[in-house]
Amino acid sequence: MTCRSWLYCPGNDPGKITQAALYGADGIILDLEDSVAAEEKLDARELVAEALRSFDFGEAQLCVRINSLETTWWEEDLRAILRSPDRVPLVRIPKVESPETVASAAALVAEIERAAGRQPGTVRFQCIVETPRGVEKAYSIVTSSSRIDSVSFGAEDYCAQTGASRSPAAKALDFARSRLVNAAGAAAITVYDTVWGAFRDMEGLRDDAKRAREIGFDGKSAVHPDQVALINEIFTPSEQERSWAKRVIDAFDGEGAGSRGVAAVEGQMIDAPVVARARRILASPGVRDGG
Amino acid sequence: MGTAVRSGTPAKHDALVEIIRDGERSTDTGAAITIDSPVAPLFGAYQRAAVEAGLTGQPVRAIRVSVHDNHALDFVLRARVKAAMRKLVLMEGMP
Amino acid sequence: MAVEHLRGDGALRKAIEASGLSEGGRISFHHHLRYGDRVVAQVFREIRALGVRNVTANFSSVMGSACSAVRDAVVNGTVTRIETTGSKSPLSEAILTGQVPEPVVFRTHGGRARAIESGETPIDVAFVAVSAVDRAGNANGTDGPSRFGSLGYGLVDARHANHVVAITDYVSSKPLSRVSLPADGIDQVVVVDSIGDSASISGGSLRLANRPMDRVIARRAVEVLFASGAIHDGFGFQAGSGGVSLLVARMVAERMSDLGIKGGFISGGATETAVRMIEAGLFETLYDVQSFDDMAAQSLAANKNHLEMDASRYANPDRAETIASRLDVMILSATEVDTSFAVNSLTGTDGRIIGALGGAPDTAEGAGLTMVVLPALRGRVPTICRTVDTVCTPGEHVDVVVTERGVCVHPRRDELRARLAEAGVQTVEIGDLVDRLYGITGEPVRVPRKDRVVGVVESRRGAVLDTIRAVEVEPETN
Repeated sequence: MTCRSWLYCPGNDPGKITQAALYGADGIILDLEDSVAAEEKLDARELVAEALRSFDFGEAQLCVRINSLETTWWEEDLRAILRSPDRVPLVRIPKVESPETVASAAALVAEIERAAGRQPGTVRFQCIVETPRGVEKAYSIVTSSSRIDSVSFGAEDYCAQTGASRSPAAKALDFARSRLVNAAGAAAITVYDTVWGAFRDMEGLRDDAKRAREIGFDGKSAVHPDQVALINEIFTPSEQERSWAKRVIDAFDGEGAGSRGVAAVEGQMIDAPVVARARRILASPGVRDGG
Repeated sequence: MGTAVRSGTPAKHDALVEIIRDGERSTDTGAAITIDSPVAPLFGAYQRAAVEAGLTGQPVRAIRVSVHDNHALDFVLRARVKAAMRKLVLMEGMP
Repeated sequence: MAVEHLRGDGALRKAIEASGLSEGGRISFHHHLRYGDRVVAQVFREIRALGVRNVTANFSSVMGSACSAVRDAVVNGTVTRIETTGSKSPLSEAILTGQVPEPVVFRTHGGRARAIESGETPIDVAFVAVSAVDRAGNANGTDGPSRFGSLGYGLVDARHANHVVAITDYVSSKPLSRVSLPADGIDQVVVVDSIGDSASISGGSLRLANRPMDRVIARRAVEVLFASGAIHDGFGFQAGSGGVSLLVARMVAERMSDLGIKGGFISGGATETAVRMIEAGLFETLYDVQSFDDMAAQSLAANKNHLEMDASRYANPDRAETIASRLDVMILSATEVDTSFAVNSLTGTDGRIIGALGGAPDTAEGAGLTMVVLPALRGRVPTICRTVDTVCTPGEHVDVVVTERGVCVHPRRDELRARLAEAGVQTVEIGDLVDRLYGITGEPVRVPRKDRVVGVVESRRGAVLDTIRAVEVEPETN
């Protein structure tokens, strides 16, 4: 499912965990990485594992951001969060710079799946690309494993390394953003934009989210509950887009274009990729829920 | 009395769990559990069951478990107990 | 003839002696000074010094340090019967553990006015704190350093008591430009060093809730209100003093401003939010039975559209028309709501007395749309439950409950549910919401009660709505 919004939730904060699903975010990221101090990693891991095992998050898609593979924590993170037999979260892997990072994670996950008697490939990844090297290798990263569900851009670390400005809709980020969107498009996976950290600056969020949408991102992460409604609004297909999507589907299905692989809508040729885009629009949570 | 390990905080929705291996009770096989909670009259049985669930399968010989609860749900209590036990095991050098 | 002003050491004691208060007498107080009240403690100290015992004390409510003073008066035998709309610690513990010899009578603000005006609960001596008197003996609550605003509850006491003692810390050298209680309604004036701390008059339930979760509930409530059709030109509106209710009021004001809607009146406890609404022209009139902050107190003195309203005009059910009966929308908070939509605003899930009936049952009955807004979980405790601990507002007077985990419409309001559905507002069955909450928290055990009745909750018209039985209670440490 494509999520318009992903809400980060600190993994060692029980109050925030129990309320995370109430703000309307399509996805929730239980975080074991940056929002958890080193001395609390073990506590957070157990808390997230128990929450995954038994807490009702409603309709929200669940994701856990583990610690980077450069730390000593990531292996225990995976073992803990994949303990629950019933609920398997998406695994968000930070600071992915190469296909080798994905391969290392995939190897351990395969071992965990085998030990649990789970179908291989059940556990899916969302890679965060947040460095210049990662941006350079974007396509090879996103195509390195069939486990990869989606990719996310992380601007904070990227700007720290490149010196680019982190202002709303900063042109300096267009290259990195576009490269990721392009790679995701080529791999036919979803792509999510970075957070806007200044959570009281709603105008800045609006500009940043709109730019991300224009470039082609499918959704965006949020660091604060107040950001969710605005992000959902911007990433919900407009009435025009929905109506276009319906016309495309009707034309493609109606004209029996399946065998020819092409149809026409208002003088424009439409083919499978266009139809796929139309179907994604109609499958968006905002459209499905009548929003 | 050994060194206490802790997990959790006194913040709302959380529980601070302290566990200590009590050498004076070395012949006792089980855990001595105390739970201090503003909602104990309402949820005491659930809280007790959650703490015991967190101790299941753990080396609980002669341990004292003190839970200072502040409206934590059961999964939080279980997690904090498991995390504290994990810290005790690591401290004692067990696998 | 000007009313005599008594001052100096022993003035209050002299006034109480002169009032004729004796063994078994009935006295009253208002609670307009809220957490800053110093009058109740001073009066009880002097009554005790005079050796008067077995007094019935009738309060419009009790909070802050007044609760300690009343508890002490119970313990030392000065007070044997209490009538009030609410109570807080440490008086609540004294009530619950059976230290008050007779069951405490809890009434609504309208019910209290009815009982006083009908003579059902007569008052021998009304002690009415006022922030200012003039030389002639006229009084108000809007002048002086301890100003608190409306005297809405105190006015009913003063009109019907056998003897009225006005207590103030400020005598104006000029005639008061605004008079709430005229001199001919006062028997004695006592000037003390201080009647209270007006900075503390806003406190307790008056907290503007503004956490993300509060905003989720408030936004949902506003969605329901506008989808219901209850917000329209000329409508009458009241929001309770609970935190999320105030936030709802602010959001309603913003949406009214965007849509160009102008309301008729806003009523109840006057807050800065309500004052800004009439100043912005969103409502014509503010009817103030109690002022919650200094902005409201100042506005009452200065704005001709901000009117003092006594408790009888507000909500006495024996009157042909009250402000409560003209309301289109009432927003309440609660400690609990049950599956019959009955509201508890007096006791907590654990049985402690922590709140009050206030005017909620009065306005709930009168309003066209009564909405309860509250978080579904307070910590681990579900606020939506199978049966409330104490029924304060009957479920038949509640139309919709809004929480962060669901909106529930009373079964008798099918047309409201249909309107909400058309507007895309999802609702849930209240029983399903309870099941969902108990699935998260576990089903709470009700605190065991003893047989002894320590409190009686009256309906607006004086019938017994519910009773409160004694419990074992640990005393509060703060």
